[in-house]
Amino acid sequence: MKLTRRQLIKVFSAGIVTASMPSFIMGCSHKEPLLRIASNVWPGYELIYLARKLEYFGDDAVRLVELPSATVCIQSLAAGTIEGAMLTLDEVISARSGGIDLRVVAILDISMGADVLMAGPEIKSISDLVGKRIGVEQSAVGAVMLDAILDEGGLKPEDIETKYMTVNRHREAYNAKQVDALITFEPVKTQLIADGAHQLFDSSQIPGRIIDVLAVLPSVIENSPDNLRKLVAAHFQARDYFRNNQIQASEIMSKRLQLDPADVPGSYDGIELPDININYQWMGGANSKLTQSAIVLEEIMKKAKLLSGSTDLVNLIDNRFLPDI
Amino acid sequence: MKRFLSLEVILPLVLIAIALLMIVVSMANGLLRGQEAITKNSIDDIKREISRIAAISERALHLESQLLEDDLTRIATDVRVSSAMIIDTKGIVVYASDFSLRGSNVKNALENFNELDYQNALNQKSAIIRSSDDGNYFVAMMSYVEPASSHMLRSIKKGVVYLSYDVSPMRQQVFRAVLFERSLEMMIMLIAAVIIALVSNRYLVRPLADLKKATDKFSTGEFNDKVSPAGLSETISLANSFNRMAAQLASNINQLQSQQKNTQAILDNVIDGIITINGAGIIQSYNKSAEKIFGYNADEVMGCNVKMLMPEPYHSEHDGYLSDYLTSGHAKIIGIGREVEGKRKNNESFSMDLAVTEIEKDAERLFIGIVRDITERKKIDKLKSEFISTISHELRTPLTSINGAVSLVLSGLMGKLNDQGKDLMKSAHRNGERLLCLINDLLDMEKIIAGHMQLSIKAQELSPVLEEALKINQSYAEKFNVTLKIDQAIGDVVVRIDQFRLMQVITNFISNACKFSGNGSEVVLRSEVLGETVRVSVVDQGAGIDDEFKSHVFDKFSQADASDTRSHGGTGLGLAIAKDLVESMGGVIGVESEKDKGSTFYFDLPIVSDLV
Repeated sequence: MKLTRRQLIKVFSAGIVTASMPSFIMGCSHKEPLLRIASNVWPGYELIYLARKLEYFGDDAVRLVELPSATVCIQSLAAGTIEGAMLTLDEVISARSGGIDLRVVAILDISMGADVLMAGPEIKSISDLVGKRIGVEQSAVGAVMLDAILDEGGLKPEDIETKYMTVNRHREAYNAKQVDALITFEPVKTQLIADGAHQLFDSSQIPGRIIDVLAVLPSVIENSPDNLRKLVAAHFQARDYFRNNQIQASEIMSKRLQLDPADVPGSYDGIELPDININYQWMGGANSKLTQSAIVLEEIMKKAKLLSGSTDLVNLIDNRFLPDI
Repeated sequence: MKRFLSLEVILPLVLIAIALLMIVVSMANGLLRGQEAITKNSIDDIKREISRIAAISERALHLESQLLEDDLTRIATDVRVSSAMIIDTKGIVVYASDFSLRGSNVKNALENFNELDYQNALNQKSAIIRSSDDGNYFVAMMSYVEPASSHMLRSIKKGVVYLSYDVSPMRQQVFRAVLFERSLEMMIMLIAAVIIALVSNRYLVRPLADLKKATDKFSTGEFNDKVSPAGLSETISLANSFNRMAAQLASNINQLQSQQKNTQAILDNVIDGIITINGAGIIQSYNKSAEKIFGYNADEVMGCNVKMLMPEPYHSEHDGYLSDYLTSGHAKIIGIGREVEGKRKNNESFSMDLAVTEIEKDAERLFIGIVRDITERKKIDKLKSEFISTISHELRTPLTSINGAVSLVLSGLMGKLNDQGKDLMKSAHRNGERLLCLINDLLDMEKIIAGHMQLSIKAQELSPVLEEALKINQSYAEKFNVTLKIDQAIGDVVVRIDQFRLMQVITNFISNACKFSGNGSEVVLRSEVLGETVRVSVVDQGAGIDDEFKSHVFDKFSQADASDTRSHGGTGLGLAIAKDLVESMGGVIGVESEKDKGSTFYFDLPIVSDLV
């Protein structure tokens, strides 16, 4: 058998291709860095935890880090120990103004009454709040709610005493009579009802103002696009599962929400879980609904002195990771 | 398949093999060290973290619980952490990185929870750290003392902090990183191998292949194909050397070929047939003249046994003769040459001269036979001898009458002659006798040559024959004033002879001795026994024989000096006839002589045991 020069080159080229196949394959499937996504406990975020339990994504692709509050989430984002978080839109804006370049890749839920003002039985109406201690998270949701509540009751900020506390302390503070009313959300809302409190105001009265989103650092878009895409898809997949298998889903979700499984569906009262279509509607285009919401929020936050100076909202939204319709 | 063993393949393959070996070794090393580092760091970290949380738990549980919760949950951002829990004194999970575990009993919280370790951890201060067999999982448990409530100095209730790492993704990551790095190196090595293959192909293999092509052509006789020097200096120099060698060889071969043509032309055109055979008698070569002589073409005889060219009985005897020669060295023709019978293609037998020479070629014995067809010469010889025979007979008859008449006249019976007449008659008688003698010799010679000489050989004592010979020649010796003596020392030795013909030989010796001896000298007829033979010699004191003539002394018509014939008489045939006669009786004839010291002619005859 005699090889011509050309054949020889072919043989060796084939050899190179074969030999470099492992590295080529590894290069292609070169595993993306683990995506660490954090959140506090909130029914709107719970679908992603449901997805984890249902193994819609692997622990080697996305690690969900369960942090006690949004504040810790933002601290962790700043520290770089996580790559993304489930946050309210105002928290995203706040983080961006603080130099953390977060990108919104999906809308998880829209508060349509989920954020509430809970008060003790002695407080019958908003106007009764004058001189009362109101517990609230030092967050935009708190600010937005407070702004709306004062607006509703015709009160001035100085009419009430604002007690800032993170949500994990709300119930404790209420029962310890450290506060008279609380601007809070599920599952604390249901817990507080059990403790005797009642609802005076909710976010359904200010539709579209309070939005929960999945936001990630730009490095994720660069380094773990597939993992991110998988995560976003898993959220919507879990949404379908929750709608179709409410009993099983509730059973799973009850543990983290620290609720009775039967109470789980109820905790979604006032929370709209937008589907993929609605996501596209909110996130499409330069002047999208989400952008508009962000602008309004920014104004309120400035007024509440939660923000100093204006925030750059360019590149806030990245809808490329939403599943195709 | 051999092609795969070529340089252009082996070189890169060896390189790749070495590179692979190096890469594998460094890969193994890198992996090992990477994994060791992971293990060590994990154990260090888990130990530190669990001590820290345990310490915070002792101070902050129930009092600054938010601080504790923040801290515990933050730990989960470490990618290695698979689970972190604070378990209270009752075994209930207070805080966990996985929120769903909160409030549940630790024994039900985790699938593979090691209760024994948990109990041990409760009972000791230091941390219990375990790793899985594959090194992928680390579990640490450490007890803490519950902060004392206001009414007691110190609590004795203990809880446990639980922390577990899963480092398998990290190990995989290290593995992939190392592999990826090395595969880059591998690619570089492969490219290097290809470059080396191409370079070696261009500068080494191709020039060598060209050279091989030229060598192959050369081996098939294409001497004029030149290799163009290419590649490295070594291959260029090799190619140049090859070209020089090829040119030299081509010229040598041309010379050889032209020489061979010449030789072949000679062989083809020589009159004699030239046939070579091997030790088995198989014909190896056969020239044009041989074709003409035997009528066979070369194609018809090459590779056949040479006996096909022989008539019976030679045909049957030849194999035996040849093998006899090869084993015993007993030659009949080889190195001698002889007249033999040949057989043509048309079965006609003919006479030929055959000379055979033995040569050794490549350790094989070959025989070169040179054949000359002597049919024509034989015919002429026959005509000649018939002519001589006829003439001799025709001369002898009248000469006998003439001699008789002269004898009668000389005897005086026809009346007295005067002295002058007597002298004339004596002269006539003497010359008549001489002529008769010559004619007899000629007739004898012709008989010998024609093979018609008949001998009546019988066993008899030699001594009486010698005495008789002395008697017969006595008067002849006296004519030359020579004393003839006999010196007998053989007793009653018996030999097988034709008495008449042996007498003729001795007479010839004695007459020659008398003729060539000086006046008053002595001639001795001597006989002696030499082992199995008896030697009879005639010793004279004459002029002796020149060395150069000695070898021709037994040839026909030879005398030392041409003038001898006239001064001494004789035909020059006597010794030739004597030789033939002695040999016919199984003897050997010879001469010993020294110039001026006389000559000794002799013959040896084999002695037979008795008269039978």
